[in-house]
Amino acid sequence: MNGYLTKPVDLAPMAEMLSRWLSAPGAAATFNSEALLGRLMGDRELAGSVLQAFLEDVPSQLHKLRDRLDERDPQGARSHAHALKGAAATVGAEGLQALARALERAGGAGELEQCGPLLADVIQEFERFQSALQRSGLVETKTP
Amino acid sequence: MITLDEELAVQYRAECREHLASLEAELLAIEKAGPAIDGDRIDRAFRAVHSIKGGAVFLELTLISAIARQVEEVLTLLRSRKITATPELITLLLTATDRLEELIAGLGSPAAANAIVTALRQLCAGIRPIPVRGDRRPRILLVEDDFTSRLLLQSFLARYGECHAAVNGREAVNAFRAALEQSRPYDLICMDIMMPEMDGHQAVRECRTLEKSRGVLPTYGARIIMTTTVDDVREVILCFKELCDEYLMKPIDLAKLLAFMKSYGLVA
Repeated sequence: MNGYLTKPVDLAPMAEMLSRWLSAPGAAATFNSEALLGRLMGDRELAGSVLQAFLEDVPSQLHKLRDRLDERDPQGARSHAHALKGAAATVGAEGLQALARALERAGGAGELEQCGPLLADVIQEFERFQSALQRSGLVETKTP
Repeated sequence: MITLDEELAVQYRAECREHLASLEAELLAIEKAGPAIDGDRIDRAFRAVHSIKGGAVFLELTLISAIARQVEEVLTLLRSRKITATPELITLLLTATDRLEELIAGLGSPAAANAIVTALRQLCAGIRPIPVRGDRRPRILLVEDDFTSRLLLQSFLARYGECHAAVNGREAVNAFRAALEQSRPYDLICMDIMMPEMDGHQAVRECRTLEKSRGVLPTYGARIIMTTTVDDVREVILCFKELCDEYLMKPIDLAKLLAFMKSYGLVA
């Protein structure tokens, strides 16, 4: 099994799920560095500092999201997911932005059972983003 | 004019109905009152046409925004008593309202729209002086709850002026009030909408109220740019009704933001 939807099926989560599996090239990129640099008028230094801030901020955002879900507070989760969506959009983390949007909607609709799996997807996508970012050379890679 | 997606067109028309009616009603009342100027009436007319303009700019309806912009300009001059409410002037404004109504309904011709824009522009030619700000560095207030977006905008805006940051609407209103009281008002505000404590709508409303209580006329105060991920024409019109100046979608394209700042004379 790759996923599940609770009945009655809500079309919005279904569309999110399908678009994730069927996403064509050109759909949400894990890290769209070209678009980011375009919006930042080619300023690589600014891009670097914004990306660094994002990397430092996201783990605490994810903790807050986890806390909200543990407290069974979908509206709280919604507002944190909204903030994460904005941050992800700012740095060109398009995959993360799409997942955060899905989480925001699920929280807004009070669908707690959808939120858990979506948060797991968000965490996984953030890891992918970090790898993509290292390859891009826009931030200094930390030596372990 | 581009052809509107039908759903957007229906939404935009529905939102404009109330504002067109309000604009017309206020103009008729102003006409009836003669040369005596009722500032509140003009403010309400301004708010109505400003809302129509905001949606039109967002949807790239260039004829509607051009007419609305000129009506705003005339109302601003009336409000600051640089021109008087002659019957000819009110007739012209009512004609402009008719043109807006036709265009919003999907009717109307570019020639008629351009004619009224020209007529209104001639009325204003050379009257409105550019507000003097001096050559001091612009004072900028950034209102944003997301750390990453705030860091980006603050790093960028600090190159062009003294940039302060607030993390919600309440902090923003407090900073705005303090700046007014110290006679060091902000020139530019970048305002997020969805924030904890107080959202961007309410914050803009309170800032404009504070300006009004100090006699600052619409469009002579701070320039307010809404920065948001909300892609919805109703939301846009709501923001303009609160008298914001621009609506900038996130993720923010810094070149667009810079272009706005240049158009306000905040950047050379």
